[in-house]
This record gives sequence, C-alpha cells and structure tokens, in this order.
Amino acid sequence: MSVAPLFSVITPVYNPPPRFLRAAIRSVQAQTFQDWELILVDDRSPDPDILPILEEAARSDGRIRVLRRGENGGISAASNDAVAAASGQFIALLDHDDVLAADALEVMAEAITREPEVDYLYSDEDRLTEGGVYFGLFEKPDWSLERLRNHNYATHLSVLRTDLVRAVGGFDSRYDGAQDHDLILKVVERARRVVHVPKCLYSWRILPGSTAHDIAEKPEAWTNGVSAVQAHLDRLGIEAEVTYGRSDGTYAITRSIPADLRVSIVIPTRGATGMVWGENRCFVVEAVRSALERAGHASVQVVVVYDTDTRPSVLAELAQVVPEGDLLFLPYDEEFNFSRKCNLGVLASDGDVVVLLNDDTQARSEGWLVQLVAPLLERDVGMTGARLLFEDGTLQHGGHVHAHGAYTHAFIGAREGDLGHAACLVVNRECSGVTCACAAIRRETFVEVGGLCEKLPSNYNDVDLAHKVARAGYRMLWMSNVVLYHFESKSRDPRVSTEEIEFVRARWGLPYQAGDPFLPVWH
Amino acid sequence: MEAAPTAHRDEAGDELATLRAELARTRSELADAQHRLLTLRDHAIGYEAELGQLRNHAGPQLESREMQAALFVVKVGKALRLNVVLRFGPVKRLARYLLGVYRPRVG
Repeated sequence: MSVAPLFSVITPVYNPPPRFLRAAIRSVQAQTFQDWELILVDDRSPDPDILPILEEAARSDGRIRVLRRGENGGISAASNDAVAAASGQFIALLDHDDVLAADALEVMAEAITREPEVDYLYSDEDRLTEGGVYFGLFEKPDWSLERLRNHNYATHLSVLRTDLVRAVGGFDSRYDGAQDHDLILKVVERARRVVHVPKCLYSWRILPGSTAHDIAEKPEAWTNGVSAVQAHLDRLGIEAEVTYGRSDGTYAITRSIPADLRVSIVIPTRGATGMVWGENRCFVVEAVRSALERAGHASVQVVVVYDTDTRPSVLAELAQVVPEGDLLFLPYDEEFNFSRKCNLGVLASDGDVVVLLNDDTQARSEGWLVQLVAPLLERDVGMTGARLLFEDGTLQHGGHVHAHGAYTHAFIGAREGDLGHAACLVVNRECSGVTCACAAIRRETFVEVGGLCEKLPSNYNDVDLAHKVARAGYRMLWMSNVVLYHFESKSRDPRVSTEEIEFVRARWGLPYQAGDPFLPVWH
Repeated sequence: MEAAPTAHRDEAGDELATLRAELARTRSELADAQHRLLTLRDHAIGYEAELGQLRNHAGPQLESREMQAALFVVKVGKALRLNVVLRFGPVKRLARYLLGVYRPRVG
C-alpha cells in the first residue's frame, strides 16, 4: 500500500441502526481494491452502541480511522472533519447505513487510470431494503449538467478529487440535507473532467426517516436543495429563479433573457387547414398566434417561409397577428424541402437566436419562448427542444434517443402525469437530439454546422443536425417546462423514406448499439 | 429654397432607381451566396463524417483481408511442402507486403 491511499472513504455517523453501520463498514473492508482508508466521524451519536462499533472496526483494521466530534454539528460539520483528515487523492462518500459494491473502488480506480484528469466520478446506484432486498436500479445518464441542476441524480457513488473539495470549501452546513448536491455543484463548476461509471456500485438503504425512503421525511433537504441550486446559478451568473420541481426532490429553474435579445421564429408553411379538437383551423395562423401570445418576450421576429400556392387570405391573417416590422414573408416555389425552407428562413432572419417551428403546433406553456431560448446564453449549449404533446395530451417528443441502432422519440405516448425513469420526464436534461418541430439554436451555431441538410427534405434532418451540433462540441437540452402541442403530420405526409435513413447511417453510422448516453432507459 | 431644375430632378431619380435595382440584385446575390456557403459547409461536415465511417469500416475489413491472404499463402506453402521453411510470422509479413501493394486507399 502506498503512503497516501488513492481513496479516502468518508462516513459521517449519527445514530444509525448498528447492524446497518456494521454492514456499511464491512462493505468497505470487502473491497477488491485495497488502496483505501475509511474515516468514520461520530457526530456524538446518542446511542451508546455506536462508538464501540466504530472503535472495534478501527482496532481490527489499520486502514480505518475514527474521529469523534466534541459536540453534535450536523452532517456537513462531521463530513468536513473527515475531509480535513483525509489523506487520499480522492474522497468517496458513503452514508452510515448504505453499502458499496465489492468492486466499487476497483472500478473507480480503473476509470481514474483511463482519465487521469478526472475530478469527479459518479456511478449508477440501486436501493436496499431493511430486509436486504436490492431494487430500483437507477441507470444514469452520462455527464449531464443541466439535469444535475434539476435533481441530484449523480449523488451515489460520488468520488471527488480531494484537493478540489478543499479548494471549494468542502461541505456547507447551510445546505444540510442537500450538502452533497451543493458540494457536487461547486466541484463540477471547476472540474476539468467528469466521468460517469455506468455500473451499479452503491446501494442506498431505505429506512423510515431517510431521504431514500421519502424526501418528505426530511423536508429541509428539498428546501436546502433549492437554495444550493440557486447559489450555483448565481455563482455562474445565470439569471434564473429556482423553485420546487414537479416531482419530489426535483427543482424547477425559470430563466430570464435580456429584453433586447432578438429571437426569430422560422416557420415553413403551405397554409394547410385541418381539424383540431373538433374545430377547423389554419395551422400556421394558430401556431403563430399562440407562439406570440405566450412567448413572454417582445423582441420576436416571425419569418414565414410559404409555398407560393398558399392562399393570400392566410398571409393576410398572419399580417393581422404579427406586429408590423416583425413579420417577414419569404416565398418558396420549389419542390417540398423542409430543410431548404428552414435554411432560407434562417438566413433571411435577423435574430441572434432562431426557433425552428412547425406550422402544426400550438404553444401551451406561458413564457415558452424565453425558457426555450435562455439556456442558449450558456455558450456550450448548442440547441434546445421542447416537450411536445399530441392532440390528446400524450407525449409526442421527450427528446431524441439514439440507441440500439435506431433513432426514436423518448417515452412517446406517455401520459401527462408520467414521471419517466428517475423523473426524466419532469426535469430539463441533456439529450442526444431534439426534433426541429420546435428547436432553438443560436444563429451562429446554425451557420457553423451548415444548417439543415438539404439532402434530407422531409425526415431525419433534425437527427442529422443533432449529430452536427454534438460533433461541434455543444450540449443539447430537452426542456420539460417548455410545452407545445404538435399536431404531428396533420399538415404533411409523415412517411419516412429508406433513402433518408440510409443517408443518415452512411454519414454517422449506426447509433449507439448499447443505449443512449443520456437516456439509458427511454420507454 | 430654390427648386432644382426638372432635368436634374429626373436625372437624380433615374440614378436612385438604378442604385436601388443594383442594391436589390446585390442583396439577392448575397443571399444566394450565403445559402450556397451554408450547404457547402453541410456537405463538408457530412463528407468528413462519412469518411470517418468508411475508415471505421475499412479498418477491420483490411485486417481480415490480411489474415485471409496469410492463411492462403500458408495453405499454398503446405501444399508445396514448404511449411517447414515458411513459418507463420514470415508468411504474414510477406502477405502484408503483397497487400500493401494492392491495398485500396481510403481518404
């Protein structure tokens, strides 16, 4: 064993059931990787059985150290004592009643060897009952900053570079209950590299009174989590307000954009009409009307790329809906090509950000445009997409999934209240791609990646665009709080041609055979 | 202020109309050029991605061709009772050399 171990496993201890405390300690001693130390900090547990268990563990194994606080200080204070005493290059967080998989540290050590610059690693996790039954495997996404802001998906098992933990000031007792979320957010703000280890290395014990059982048992954890995420956004200068999310333990982020940010909505159309909710409508007129009514932003240009056989009355109606000076009509008299129409529209627009919008949509959420566009103020975000609903309110688009050799929509057909795997349908998150039925992208990014591929006139042009945006190094986000109806393909033929599929596969190869990196579980 | 003579006014008007037409034409040409640039950029990114795919596919195929050629030479060697002389290593190197001559160039 080297003088300084690779891992310092730190465990603040406060009155756990003794048998689960022993199990936690045993799970560290049973590691297949030996280069570790375990630091147990007793935070003045009232139960007289606890301290003897800790002391016995230290006597039996030279790698185990026990610290005892002078007075009870809470989980952050106890954890910080452990951080101060840690001699390992990395700190692994283990709660006093949870267990590590036997190969947890070995797998983490391998990941560190592969990625020497890594500063933060996290693994998949599951849950463990009092009776020893494992369940609830959480297969996590690859590194997803936006998702981490929306819920602490990463937490178990977390391994953090010790120097960085100390540099950010360690745990902050103001966020007790969500102190790990706060620490992870602070660390990733400075981390050179974050790695997801797609293997279950940690089992979170479900006990009455624990957060794993129900966050309602510790309401302060959720409240402090709101504050932790708010503090993170404030540190980064992101104008936003954080509140409780739709599901327990999740957070809702409402962003702002500068009033003078010019946004152009590019909407191709041929002025089709059809029945929606029992009423006949001209799609493009209702799409534009609802988009502007609920935009939450004034500086909006509407670029209508219309087929030349569009009825003049449709254009006249649009002129009534859009303020003068903010409307641009662009005639199109060639064979149907959605990509070409969008490209021409974007090039003719004057916005800093463009929103590609199908004419068979209807905005539902207030401020949809602001929430869709705002993440693009972060320079590493390349494109954002929306939650799109079918006419009956079921999910049409929950982000694209690139998995098992095919492309599809995540959770298509899900009902409105469905949370999805690990709340993925109620949080904003990274994704492999979004549909261009409603997508926002900075104009410069659109130009940088060559716009939409005109060799894909109808379908898969959005898949291709997503590949190009990802290739350029940008993140893509699916915004669960941006809601529109999409009366999909009511205004055009929905068939996908073999040529289009083959074209995309020739360019980009078969999508991930193993699974989508951001949605390992997507139906 | 004294009004400009009619002839001058007409001349200025004609010039303005010409300039406006020229501006419209230039704008149209600029839009076309921007569109061409956009599609060219897409093609360039696409070709590069496609090339990556071809390289990915070609690598294992070439390896496999090498091995097949080596085995073929071994079989021929055995048939000619040269297997004592030609060990697998030299045979493989020979096969690689021969394939190097005929190896299809990618990219």
